[in-house]
Amino acid sequence: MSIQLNPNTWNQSIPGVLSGTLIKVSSAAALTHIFYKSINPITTAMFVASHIFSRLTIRLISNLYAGSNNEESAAFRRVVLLASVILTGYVAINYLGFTVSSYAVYTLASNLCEIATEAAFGVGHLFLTGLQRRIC
Amino acid sequence: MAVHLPAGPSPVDLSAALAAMQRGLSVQSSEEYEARRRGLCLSPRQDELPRATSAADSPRNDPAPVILRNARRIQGPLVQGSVVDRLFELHRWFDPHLPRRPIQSVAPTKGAFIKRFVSTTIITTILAKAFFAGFNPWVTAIVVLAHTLQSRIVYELFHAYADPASRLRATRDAQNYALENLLHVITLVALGTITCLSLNLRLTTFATYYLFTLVSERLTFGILNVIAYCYPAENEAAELQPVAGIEAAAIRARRAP
Repeated sequence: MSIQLNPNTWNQSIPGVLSGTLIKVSSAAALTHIFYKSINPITTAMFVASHIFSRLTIRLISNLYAGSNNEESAAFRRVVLLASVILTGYVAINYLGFTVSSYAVYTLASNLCEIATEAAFGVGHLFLTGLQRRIC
Repeated sequence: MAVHLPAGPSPVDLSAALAAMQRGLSVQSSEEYEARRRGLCLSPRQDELPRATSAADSPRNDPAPVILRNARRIQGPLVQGSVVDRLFELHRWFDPHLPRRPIQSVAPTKGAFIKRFVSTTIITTILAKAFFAGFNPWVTAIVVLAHTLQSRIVYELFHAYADPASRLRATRDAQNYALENLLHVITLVALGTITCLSLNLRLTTFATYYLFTLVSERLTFGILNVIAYCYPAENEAAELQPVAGIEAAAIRARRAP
């Protein structure tokens, strides 16, 4: 079974990246505060800021050097994401007062919330499309 | 046949023009006439456009013009456009389409599965030993195995329930995208719960192992993908397979000597 993939990846706009990252990371911070009590709000704010900054950096780099097909873009995306995780982790642990465990908890929560938000957006898009089709 | 009217400050003989129009003749100014006579191309006139000679030549039967909305992207990194435009992609700011990312593919063969598990385990072990005080090799191996199994389950479920060829592309993409993310969320929560309960791990410990697994997985796949990209001759078929027709033609043309 061949599933058609969209070769044009990373086509989010800057406002889209900003708002999406803000939603995802804020929900991740809320989730972390619920399950992991020993994190203060300043650390959370720093994490949010560093996450958004890294996402914007990834976005700008990918616009400059993104590939022309799916495989190339996927390879580039993985490398950039890896560099982003390492760089953000290094800055957070060495300069923002994170421990490895607290950074890991934040990363897990942000990953979970990111996927959940994307799924919710996708389901909402489908719902709205279906609704629009029924109305029109 | 056309009636030529004087241009410039001289008065225009409107009555002559009106009479010519009533007779069905085309009216053009002297400037336009002179420009056409000298071979300069002004805007094409309707009566000068090529007419269809048969039913097969009629515009209704012509193939639809191909509009390359992402033509710059197809041409690769060496494309037109300013740096600022490429940095911010201003024309995409109000793109109403749902943002998409490539659907993550897990290697489907058994050999690739084992290779992936082994390489991820080795890198995760190195990372955990270097950066985590409470390192346990068995827990590392089990968490990596659980993570690999989770990816495999997501892959199988996605390919079982994804919509391969729907008529509406946007709906199909959104549907597949939502399905993939839902599967990821459900399996990630299940993975965390089962691992924490069965291995008696704290949330922070599991999160630390998960972070190391994530980093090592991206490292493994990044290296593999970069190697595959650096040697495209061996992977040309696999690379061109998911690319739609016109983009595949563009890539082939770019690679041609």
